[in-house]
Amino acid sequence: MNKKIVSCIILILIILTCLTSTAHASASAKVFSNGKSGTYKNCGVYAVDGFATLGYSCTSSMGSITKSSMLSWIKNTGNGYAMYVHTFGGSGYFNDYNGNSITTSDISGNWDFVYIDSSYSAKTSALANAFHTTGYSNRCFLGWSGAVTTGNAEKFNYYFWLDNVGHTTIRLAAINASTGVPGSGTTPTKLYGSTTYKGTAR
Amino acid sequence: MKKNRKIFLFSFIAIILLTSVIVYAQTSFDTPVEDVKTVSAEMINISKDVLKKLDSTEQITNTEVVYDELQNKNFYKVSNSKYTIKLDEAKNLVGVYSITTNPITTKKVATKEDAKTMITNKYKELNLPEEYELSYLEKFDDEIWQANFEKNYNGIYNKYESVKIFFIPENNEVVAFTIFNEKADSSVVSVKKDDAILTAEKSLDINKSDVVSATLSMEKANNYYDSQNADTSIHPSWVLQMSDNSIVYVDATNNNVIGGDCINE
Repeated sequence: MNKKIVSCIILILIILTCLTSTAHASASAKVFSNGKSGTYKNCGVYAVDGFATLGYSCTSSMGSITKSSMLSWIKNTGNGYAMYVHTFGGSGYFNDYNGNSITTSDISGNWDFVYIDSSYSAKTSALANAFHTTGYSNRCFLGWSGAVTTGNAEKFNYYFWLDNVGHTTIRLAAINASTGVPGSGTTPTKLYGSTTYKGTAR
Repeated sequence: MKKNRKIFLFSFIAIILLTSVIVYAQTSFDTPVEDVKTVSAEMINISKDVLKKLDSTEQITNTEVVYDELQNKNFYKVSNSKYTIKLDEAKNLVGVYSITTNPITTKKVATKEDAKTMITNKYKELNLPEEYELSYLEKFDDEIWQANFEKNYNGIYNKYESVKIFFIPENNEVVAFTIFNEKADSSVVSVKKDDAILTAEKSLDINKSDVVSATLSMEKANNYYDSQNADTSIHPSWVLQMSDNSIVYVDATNNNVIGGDCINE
């Protein structure tokens, strides 16, 4: 009888171990939000929530984000497949809190979903290509093709991450969210990569 | 032997009871006791009418009430497999949002004139505000176009009284739109550009030479430069863009700084 009980407990432990390891196998995402933006806290919190909706295990770094901390995530060899950065930048680069730029030559790896929330981040496909988000059915890059204000980005992010992500494709989530920000040139979103990808964690 | 069996049985029952108590407690605490909002039958019927005008005959699959933190209001959503329709508490249509889009089957690519004809007809069919006029029409990506219909105050468009709409002209298909209906406090422009710049100089200690551009538009007051400011009304404003990417709104009626923003470049 004792042997049976011990066997039962061992079996339960094995099942629990399997379930735990499966749970940890979901892809990870990281949110970086630059404290120099007046809306960094909200944008960061919305993104963490949105990544959770997409099934990612998400961590965040908000405030004095550094180039080295972002590069450490970009060059991760683990389970990181997605990232969101709310910061300042331009075509082909984005900055840390101190204004140090991350350019295409700093970027490596194969990413499923990357959203760089700084002006002109998607003016060209340079960053999208650097993250290897183009040319695949389950990858995409979201950014801005023009200038965007932190106030408009905050509104867009609220509707994008909390109202639309997880319900439709990233492309339509961005378009639906754009309509929530009044004005014609206020949300110049641009998507590279798959237009049918929903952003769901692998 | 029997003692072991009893212990095992007792532990099993104890675990089941404990789990039940935890689950019951969680469910009880999670369920709101009062003020349960639901989507009414009338709201569903209104949504069905909108869906019909959008040529979407799919069955209603979901209804939900969502709280919009930015607007501090509840909104009522009715969805089928193609669209989500959003209504406000007064059962007014607030927006339409796509879950999927149809593939383009026609080979003829729509011209700007085709796009204009399609969207102005659809705008009328959907009974969207008559007093708004087409102020913007451009191609958004390879398939989708964007149009804005806005209220015109003596040549200044108010984006807060507008319809921002995305559509596919080849399919006669609306992708998404939101209706904004916040009236401007005034439409009187009595402050000249140079006076507005002078006000910004005095109020915010900025240098005139740092002003990159100055344009007139309707802007909403905010607390960007004054954390105590609770005013969120809409004013005709001089929008001053500075060389450091900051933006200043100067009320073009009363010549006060009413808020600002910043470009994240």
